[in-house]
Amino acid sequence: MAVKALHAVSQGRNGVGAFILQCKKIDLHYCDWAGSSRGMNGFIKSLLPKFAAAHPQIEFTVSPRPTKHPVAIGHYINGRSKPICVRNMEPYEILKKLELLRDASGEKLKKVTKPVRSINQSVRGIWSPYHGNGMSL
Amino acid sequence: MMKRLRIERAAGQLLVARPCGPSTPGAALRSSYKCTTSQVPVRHSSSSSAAEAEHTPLYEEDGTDHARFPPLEKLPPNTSALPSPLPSRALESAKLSALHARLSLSPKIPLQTLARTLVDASADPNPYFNNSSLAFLGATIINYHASEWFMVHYPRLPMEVLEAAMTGLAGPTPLDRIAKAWGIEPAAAPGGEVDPGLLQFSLDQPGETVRGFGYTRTVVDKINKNNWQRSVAARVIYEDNLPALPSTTKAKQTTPAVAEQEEQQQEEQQQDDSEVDYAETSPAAPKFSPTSYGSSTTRELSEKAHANFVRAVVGAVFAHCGREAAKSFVKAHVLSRQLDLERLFAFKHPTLELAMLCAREEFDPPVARLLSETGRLSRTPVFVVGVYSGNEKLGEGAGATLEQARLKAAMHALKAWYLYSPGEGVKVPSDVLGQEEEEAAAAGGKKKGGWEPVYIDIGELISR
Amino acid sequence: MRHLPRLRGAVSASLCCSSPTHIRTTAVAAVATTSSSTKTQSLQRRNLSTSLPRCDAVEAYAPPQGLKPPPQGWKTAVRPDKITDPAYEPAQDGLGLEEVGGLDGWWENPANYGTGRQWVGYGPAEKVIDPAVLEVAVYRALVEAMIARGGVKTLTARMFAVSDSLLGSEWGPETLTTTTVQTKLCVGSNGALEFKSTPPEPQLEQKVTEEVDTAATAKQEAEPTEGANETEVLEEAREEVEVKEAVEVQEEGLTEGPISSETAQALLKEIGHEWKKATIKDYVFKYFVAKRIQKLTGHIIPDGKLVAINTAGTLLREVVRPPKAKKLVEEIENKQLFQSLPNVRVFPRRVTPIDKEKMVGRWKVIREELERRGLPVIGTANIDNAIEKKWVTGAK
Repeated sequence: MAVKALHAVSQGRNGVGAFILQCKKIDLHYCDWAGSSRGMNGFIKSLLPKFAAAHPQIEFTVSPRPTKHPVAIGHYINGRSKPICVRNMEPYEILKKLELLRDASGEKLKKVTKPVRSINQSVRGIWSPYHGNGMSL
Repeated sequence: MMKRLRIERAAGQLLVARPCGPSTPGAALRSSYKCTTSQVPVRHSSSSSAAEAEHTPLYEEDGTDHARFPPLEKLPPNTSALPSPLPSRALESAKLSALHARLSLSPKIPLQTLARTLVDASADPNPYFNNSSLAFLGATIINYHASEWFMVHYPRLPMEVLEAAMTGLAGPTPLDRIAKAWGIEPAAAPGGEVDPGLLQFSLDQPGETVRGFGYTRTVVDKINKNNWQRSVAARVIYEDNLPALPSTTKAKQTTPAVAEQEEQQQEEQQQDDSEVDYAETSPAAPKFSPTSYGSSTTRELSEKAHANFVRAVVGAVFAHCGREAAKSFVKAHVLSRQLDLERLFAFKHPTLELAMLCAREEFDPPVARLLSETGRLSRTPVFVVGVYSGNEKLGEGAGATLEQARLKAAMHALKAWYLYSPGEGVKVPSDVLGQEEEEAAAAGGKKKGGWEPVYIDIGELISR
Repeated sequence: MRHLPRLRGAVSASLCCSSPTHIRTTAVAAVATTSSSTKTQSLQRRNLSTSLPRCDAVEAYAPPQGLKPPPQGWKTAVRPDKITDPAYEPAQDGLGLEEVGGLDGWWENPANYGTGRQWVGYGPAEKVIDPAVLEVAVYRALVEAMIARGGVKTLTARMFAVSDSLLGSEWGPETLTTTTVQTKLCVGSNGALEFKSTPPEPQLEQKVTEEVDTAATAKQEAEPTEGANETEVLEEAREEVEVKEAVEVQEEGLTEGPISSETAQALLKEIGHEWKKATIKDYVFKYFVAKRIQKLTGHIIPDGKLVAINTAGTLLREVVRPPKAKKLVEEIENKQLFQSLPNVRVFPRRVTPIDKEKMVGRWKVIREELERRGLPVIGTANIDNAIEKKWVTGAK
């Protein structure tokens, strides 16, 4: 029978099949002269090797940005990026910020009111007044 | 063509000769692959004085002041004249290594192969350095796994809907989305100096890609010349799953400007159509906003390039890791995506179709009965109609008018028929592919063994 | 303006000497000659500073060697009507005529300065990097310091004399290094550095000082400098041998510069490692050693570190250890922190927007288009800031 077809595109569900970490790149900018960058310099020397080895799927870029505060910028798969200025921070504080970048999805921060967000239909169905035993008045 | 050192020439193979030495994304190898020029100290190359132009520059001349800004990547001269980066550069790209790990690819797949999958045929026409052969291989694997999944899980799906489902699950658009979900960025313009981790394709000319294999029948010329319609089955097998978009031959000849004019003409033509399709939901074809990047032709080329990349990765997985690994890769990335098949149906005369179906199946002829209603004389009535075959309800639909409700009920019934599925855990033919041979060998060649279908449908409803 | 104090009485000519190496010895002499009143002492202390006294400064000033002052006086060309040369033809205009004379840019020409004022460093021009050579240099410095001390802890004139001659000498011939290094040092009973063969061979000490002196004198003969004071202080016994050695050294020829790495490694096998455990606590001794190390290798040990150094091994480590990296990139490269990580990329300099365009492949397109339009690819091609205003107003 002549059944025409409409077109739709499948929706990906990260984690159902394969999991793709949303943070794809982290830029680390430091300065050799500025005092606010001492923590960042120490972080790059001491803690970054281990962190980078633990996350081979993130591309790390270390480059100087002279006479500027140190900054860590996370780039995400949805195209957005999150910069965090890490001036005057200690290495372990910077590590915490990097963990924050790694765990983020790149989406803008929004308040979540509902407990569940899903593309599946409801399991028990939406109530309808036309089905069931009706209402007795 | 540009003459350059090609150390990996090999004839007649999809994959050229294995790269010399182990080239897994491990580190100890990077030093051994370091180019000798990197150890030479940077020399200042001034581009202004004519007298100094006689001496050959050590690194690529790119118009910048090498004294103030020594090149970050010490590339040999004329690197940007190359159509794609040399395979040796793949080992030094952090982006590529990160991509390799993000996809959890096996260490058996070298970085050079992954770099090759990112080079589209439009960027580099040399088939040994672009992803066309790998993309063809990957396309067959993806299409095979997707089609067997549909055939086993939805045995009654009509061919049109099957084609749309295949397009929606394994066509260029979903593959393009998959590539973007992997974090693939396109290069602005392909060349030898580009980061190997970027997808390189050209918007000027679409490249020649491997489309099919075997012989072409003589009918093919007539099909193309007279614009004959191919059957759905033939389209699914032989073509890209994109019946609506212009063919590649047209795209070659037109420039983006002309393509836009054509597109406008097509839009005007479509408005004259008076066909009405009954569909429960709005059409799913995406409409680009006026602020979308580029033109429809460039978007199509970009989509094709991204899709070919994903296919090429599947091909690379198959070539380096085998059939099972490729299957699990396809299952994890392509088949795990959710597609609502219900939204793909668009019926013409659903009541007629249902009646013919019941007649074929020797059910009682379908009767529509009003189950409940409210607000008949008000502004917003609701009628709930059920279609019964004898005492069994085939389908139900709610609508604002009786006619609408009846049609919806008929469509619901047809969908219930077509979307029958034997279950989630049903085995597909590729699950038992290896076992077939084992069983046949064990039984001494007598038992056929292998995959047994759970349900085989009689076929589509044929009318007139 | 403050009235500068002046010395009573005639000023010794030696005080106004330009060579800095003789200030100490001559100043000592000057102190002895002048009166011992407190006021003059304070004046003397003030005048013993590094700055020259004002009174006779101008007359005693000698220009540095090679300095070419601008010519004085005038020279005039012959009047055109008084030219006798028959081939002379007066020019009709100024094109192609040669410009002669004038003092413009005289001092911009480096050839007019000469070599006299060129700074000569105390140590060699290039610091020694090879660890074997450094170890030999440190050992040699220690031996020479031991020789100069002569086993005595108090300062004597003799020690000054010997130490002066040793301090002033450079590497010298290779035999000198070999001889010095053959002296064995070891850890003494109380942990201090001592000669292995106690008492140290007097011949060795003599030979070392001889060779140093001959090398010094041979060098002085090559370059005429004020070396007369040095020889005056030497003892008579040495003077006899001096002549003989001078001839020998001249025949051999001087080998300037540090010894080669291979020689150093061979010598190290003889030296051993015993001496590194010895303690050195005397400040003067340490200073002598540090000064010697600077002369031989060019490495300067800061005073703060010198105070903290108590053993020969620590001293050696301080000299041999490479300096801390000044930039993070250098440190990363030295320690190879990210060598094994393929997903990390370290850039040695700031990543400019053009670098980003290059990585993406857009730069060649931009450059091509700019060149096609005749626009400068980098910078502004010396176009004025207000060029558009000039176009509009018609200014040239």
